[in-house]
Order: sequence, then C-alpha cells, then structure tokens
Amino acid sequence: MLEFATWFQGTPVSVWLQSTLWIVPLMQSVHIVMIGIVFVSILMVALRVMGWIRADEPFAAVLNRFTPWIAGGLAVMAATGLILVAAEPVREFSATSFWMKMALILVAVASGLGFRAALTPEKQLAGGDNLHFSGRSKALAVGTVLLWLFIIFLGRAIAYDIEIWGPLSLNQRFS
Amino acid sequence: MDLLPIVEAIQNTGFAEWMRMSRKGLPIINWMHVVAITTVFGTIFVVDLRLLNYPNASRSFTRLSEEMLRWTWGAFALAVITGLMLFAANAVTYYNNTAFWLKMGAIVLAGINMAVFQFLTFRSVTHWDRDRPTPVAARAAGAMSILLWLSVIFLGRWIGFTKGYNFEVPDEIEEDLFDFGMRLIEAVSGFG
Amino acid sequence: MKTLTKAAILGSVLTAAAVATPALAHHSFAIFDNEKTYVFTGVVTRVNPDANHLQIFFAEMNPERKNVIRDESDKPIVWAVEMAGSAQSAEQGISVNTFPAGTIFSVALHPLRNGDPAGSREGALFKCPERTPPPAGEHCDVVEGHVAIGEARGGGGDEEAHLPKEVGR
Repeated sequence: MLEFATWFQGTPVSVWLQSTLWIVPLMQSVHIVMIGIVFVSILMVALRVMGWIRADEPFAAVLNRFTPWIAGGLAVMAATGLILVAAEPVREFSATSFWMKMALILVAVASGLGFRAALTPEKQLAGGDNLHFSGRSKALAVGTVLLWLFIIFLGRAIAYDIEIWGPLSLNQRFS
Repeated sequence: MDLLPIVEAIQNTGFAEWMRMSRKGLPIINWMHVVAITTVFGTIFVVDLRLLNYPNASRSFTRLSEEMLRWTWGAFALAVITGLMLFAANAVTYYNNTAFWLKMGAIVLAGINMAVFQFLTFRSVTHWDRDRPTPVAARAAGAMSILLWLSVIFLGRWIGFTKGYNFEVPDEIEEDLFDFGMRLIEAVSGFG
Repeated sequence: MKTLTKAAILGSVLTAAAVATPALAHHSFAIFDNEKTYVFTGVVTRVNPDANHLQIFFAEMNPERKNVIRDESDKPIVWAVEMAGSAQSAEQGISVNTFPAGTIFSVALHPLRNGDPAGSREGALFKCPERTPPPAGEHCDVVEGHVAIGEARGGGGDEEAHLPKEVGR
C-alpha cells in the first residue's frame, strides 16, 4: 500500500496537485465546510430524536429537511477527500488515524442507512409529536453524534499521527 | 502601536509553553476548535437559510432561531476559548500572519452583520415570523452571514499555509551582532 | 438588493485578499524546492518556538566568516530555517534555550520556491563552540568542538555527520 502511495506521489497528477499552491488549502476548506453541514445535520436529527428541538414538527419532516444535506455533504467530502489523498498519498497512508477514520466512516454510514431503513412504516414517521423514541434510540442518537465527533478528531489527527499514536503510528518508519 | 512585545509575552507564558510541548494537547485543542467552528457555521447556516426562505417559510423564525442560536453561541464560546489557547501557543506566528488578521476581521464583520439584523431587521419579525417571505434586509443578512462565515473557515485554513516570517533583528541583538563583527575583525587583523 | 450586492463584493474582496497573500504551505513542504540545497553558516537572531514548525532566524556570515552579510543600509540579511514542531525539536535538543541569539551554527536547507529567505531544514544543525566562527569558507562541521544536533532525515548511522553539498545556489 505504501509502495503504491510512494509511486503515486511521483506521478504527474500528484505532483501537479502538490505544487499547485491553492488546491490543497481550498479542498481542505471545502471539506471543513462540509463537516459543518453534515455534522450539524446529523446533530439536528439526533436532537429531534431527543425531543430537544423541532418537537412541533413531524420527525419525517426533520429527516427530509436534513437527509439530502447529509448525503450531498458526504459526497462532496468523498470527492475533496480523494483529491487530498491524491495530493499527499504517503502522508495519509502512513497515518494510523487515516485508516481508522476510513473504517469508522464505513461503520457510521452503514449504521445511518440502517437507522433510516428501520424507520418504517412511513405513516408512523408522520406522527409529529406523537412519535416518541425509546431510550435505546436516544442512546443510539447520542452515540452517532459521538462517533462523528471521533471521526472528525481522526481527520484532524492525521497531521499529528506520531504525537497521538506513539508507537502505534504507522508513520514510525518514516520519522 | 507595536504589539509585538505583548504578543511575545503571551507566547512566553507557562501555559503557552505547555501547549507547545504537550504532544497530545495541541491536536486535541485543535480538534475542539474545528468542531466548534464547524458547529457555529452549520447551526447559523440553518438560520441563514431560513432567512433566505429555505426550505420554506412555514416554520416560525423566532422559534427556529432560538433553538439554533443557543447551540451557535455555545459552540462560539468553545471556538473562542480554544482559539485563544491556540493563539497563545504560537502567538508570534499568528501576529505576523495576514490570513489570521483577515479571519479576525471577518468574524468582526459577521458580528456587526448579526447586530444590525438583531437590532433593526428583527424588530419587525411579527410581520414575517412564519408563512410569509422574509423582507429583503433579512435575506441580505442571511446571505451576508453565509459569506462571512465561509470566509472565516477558508481564512482559518489558509493560516496554516501562510507563514508570517519575522525577519527583523531585535535592536539589542543587532548591536550585539555589530560588536561581535567588530571584535572578530579586530581579532583576525591582530593576527595579521 | 443593494445590500446583497455589497455583501457579494465584500466577500470577493476578502477572498481575493486571502488568495493574494503570499502562500507558503507548511503541510507537505511542497512550497520548498527540494531540488535545491543551500548551506549556511550564520548567527542566530531569534527563535520562534512555533508549535507546528519551529523557526530559527539567523544572519548569514560572510565567506571570510568575519562578520554577518549586510545590505546597503547596513542591516544584517536574515534567513529563516524551519523544522518540526517545538515538542519534537526539543526532543532533538533544539529550543530557544539551546540556540540563544548570537549562537554560530551551520545548516542546510531547501529554500522556498517563492524566493523568500527561508527554507526547510535538511539534516543536522551544527553548532560552533561559543563565539568561534569557522575558518574562511568553512562551516561549523569542521570546527573542533562543534556539536551536531538533530539527525539527518532517514539517517542515523555511527559515522560522523556532515553538512550536505550545496546544490543550485
């Protein structure tokens, strides 16, 4: 994998991305803006599950308001993320945080899709104030928010891999 | 006014030293800053979109903004605290960084925009709280807010890619260098 | 609508101003020209213990090693060399305390592509004994009693460390 990263880092595409000064900061900024949109959209749904906000609105309405932003934001993040990896493949592939982040994104997206699929029938969703969530659902909502917070942390930690993971950092052999 | 001595004093505090030297402290504070600022943007974005009548005008603006802004303010407080901590650690670097000052400027403008909205436009809220399109001034405030907070995020990221080098030689050191140069010349010519 | 236009203009100005700022990336060191290696012997003027990338500012010594190089107005010409963050640098023995102003040292760096007098450190720093510059045309790595600080990247053998060759200056 690292051999591939090292090879790719030398390809004209990667070199162009690295040496064009504005690409990496621009992609990172867009990535961060999308974190704001996706994380807050997830937070909104979770807070509605808790009954802390928009309790006057049917749960389905809240879900419909924010789901497209979550999906769209994640798609943009995948694209900007891919460009960032292409620009600095060795840095990303040699970070323990990077691989953990990728694995946890899979877990989080799968559980999000599972949550959506479990919300049937639609009639029940439209129940407005009447839709109360069980303690287990509320715990899951909190857990989901915490999971995304940890994913954000791992993203930030890529730049500090040795500091965070010490001997567990894949970056050791390059230091 | 030259603030550099103050900025250097901040950087020389024990706390700043601890921030620089603690290997996990810096990334953790950094992460909290990212979470805080993205939450500020994300929550205020919901309010701004409502001001732009997205997705529609059917929800009460007053209720929506009350529910959102407590999260915005909480996150903003966290952003300020963690931001001050990050500033202290590298005060001199930030002080010499243009992107940093532009970011601070954008935050001030966002605050002014919010205050103007709160104290002028918002007074007529009963006329447009729900089911009616927001007035032009409210839409303008929403658009402005989105633009400014996007600028804050972009400028914040830009700080990491721009270095404010301070090439100035402090006076006392320049004198020292001068004396030092003279001594060296004397020493060498003495042998010659 | 007028306000909206103004907002748009302000936004564009802010963005333009941000983009126009001289850009020096620190993330991937892509802004440094790795094809070039400059070797300096200089006198420390200040250390900025930046948490992300510690910077040592220094006035380059003239080839005779009798004084620092100065511009027309007699001001020393100052360069900056940057490296790992404060914590990592401290572990290697590089800090404000170990490089006080006046320290004579030699270093190799990859200069900024944009021509500013700064670069990223390559290999070890070589500290001359206090107030003892190297002979004309030489660097601290040949001075008796010098100290090599910080390992060369990917290196770390037992053989005595030396400065790399200058390329492209």
